[in-house]
Amino acid sequence: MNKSRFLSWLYGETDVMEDILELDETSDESREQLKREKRRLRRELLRSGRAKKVIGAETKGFYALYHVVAVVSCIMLIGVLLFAVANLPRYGEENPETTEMVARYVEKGVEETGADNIVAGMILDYRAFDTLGESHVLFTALICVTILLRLDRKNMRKTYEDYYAIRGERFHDISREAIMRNVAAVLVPCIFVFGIYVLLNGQNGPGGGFSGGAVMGAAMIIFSAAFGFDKADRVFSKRLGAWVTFAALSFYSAAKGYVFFTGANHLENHIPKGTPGAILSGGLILPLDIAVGMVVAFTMYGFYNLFMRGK
Amino acid sequence: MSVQDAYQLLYIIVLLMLGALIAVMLIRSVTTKGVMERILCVNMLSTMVICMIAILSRMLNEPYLVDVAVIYAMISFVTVLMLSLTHIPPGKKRARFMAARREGGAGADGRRLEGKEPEAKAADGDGKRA
Amino acid sequence: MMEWIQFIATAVCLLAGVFAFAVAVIGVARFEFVLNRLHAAGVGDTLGIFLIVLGCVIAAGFSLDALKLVLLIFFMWFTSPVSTHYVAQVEYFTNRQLEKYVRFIGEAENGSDTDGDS
Repeated sequence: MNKSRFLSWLYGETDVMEDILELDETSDESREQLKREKRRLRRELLRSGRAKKVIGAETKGFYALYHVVAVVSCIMLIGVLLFAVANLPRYGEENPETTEMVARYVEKGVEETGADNIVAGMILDYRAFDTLGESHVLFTALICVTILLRLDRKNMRKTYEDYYAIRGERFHDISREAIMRNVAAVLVPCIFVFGIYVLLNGQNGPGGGFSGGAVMGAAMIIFSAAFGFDKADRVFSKRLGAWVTFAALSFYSAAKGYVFFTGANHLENHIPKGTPGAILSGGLILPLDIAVGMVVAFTMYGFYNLFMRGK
Repeated sequence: MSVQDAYQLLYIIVLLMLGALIAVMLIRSVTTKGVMERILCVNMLSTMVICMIAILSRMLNEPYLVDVAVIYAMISFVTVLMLSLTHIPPGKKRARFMAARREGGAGADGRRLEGKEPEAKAADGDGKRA
Repeated sequence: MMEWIQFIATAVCLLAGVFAFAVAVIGVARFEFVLNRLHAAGVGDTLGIFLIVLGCVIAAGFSLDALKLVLLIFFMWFTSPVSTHYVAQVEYFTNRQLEKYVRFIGEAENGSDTDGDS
């Protein structure tokens, strides 16, 4: 008996949440109306002759080319990756990555980077180029989601009441409840300050840019959930998010560019290392931590914002 | 035996007992039916994990583990909040649901309201799925 | 001698905390309905964590660690009632079989929205 129940769940034949929790079909009238409008416009467009020529070329040329290029690029990528993996050294053998480099990092990590936390020294000093790429990836993801989901005022949503109306159909709006407001009024500053503390102590203990940024993002999310869109937008507006992330990434790139330039030309970069254990130690680790933390916090908050407003 | 050894022994005993309780909660969170029961079990579980991290910070004498515990507390709070927010039905549907529950009476047989009252059924077209 | 007193106080607090958690876990495991389980879970969330963290505070003495642990307690005490409130809200607004477990005393005329003072 139990075996057949398990198998039927495994193959997806039964619904586990059947009598317990049911999702409703959201009968969204505005969405239906939008779909009908789209269909009508497309039909009208197809009737004119010029449109026929354009759409004809599209369907024949573009999609065929798209499929071919997609398959070819996938095969090339798979080939390159397989070739690279096949030429890796065997697991467990003595190769420089696992013996010499690790020994160098562990022995000389503290004196060369100036940070007590060797992990922070690695990701922000020895291998800061990786972290640069990661921050750019976060930024790019946020931009792409913003392009896809953000609605301008000209498009559909005129005022905040529209946001609330659309969201109020799907989610329960807790921004008007007394309990959330009172609790968030005390908690959000505390969590924010705690996030800043975690961020600034990246080089002395666990923490650093990513976890501090995540805590700050969580504080922003609680703030936005408890007080509503209009109040949250006054503080963490889109312009602020855009400018802060842009400034953070530019600063990171400029700083790392300077360090690479002086390092490649065997010059001396006059960035003080400080004493390990103090806050102002580790050279460039603290400013880069701040930059990464800003990007992470605004990325988290941006995702929450864009997905909650709905479409 | 010195005080330090006694402390370590005490911490190990307490951690083992808490570990057993966590195992019980973990199994409970899988076997109970019902979404909110599971969310509640996960909340209890994360509270016990926070206690374990606090004890570990004393046992290993590392002060930064308390920061980790605070972050876990915050994560569990935001998790339960957001998970339960997505299940609360918003305003109009809530009014329909309360009306249906009051008029239709509690379905003593099964959780689905079988639409005994024609009034409840006419009020909202899909009376079963609210 | 003081160290042994500190150790005994820590031991008492920690073991009492584990006992409170055991009571809470047994309650959550044995009760049938979510709202009853919430009562049991509340014991664990407040008393259990308070006693265990108090034990750690006594073990740490007067230092920064003790302050951080007190911060942890206050954070948990602030946020765990809110989580409980929302779990109960979901159960109240989604469960159709509520009459079987709960006796309503005097419900409001309308849908009794929980919108507070706006």
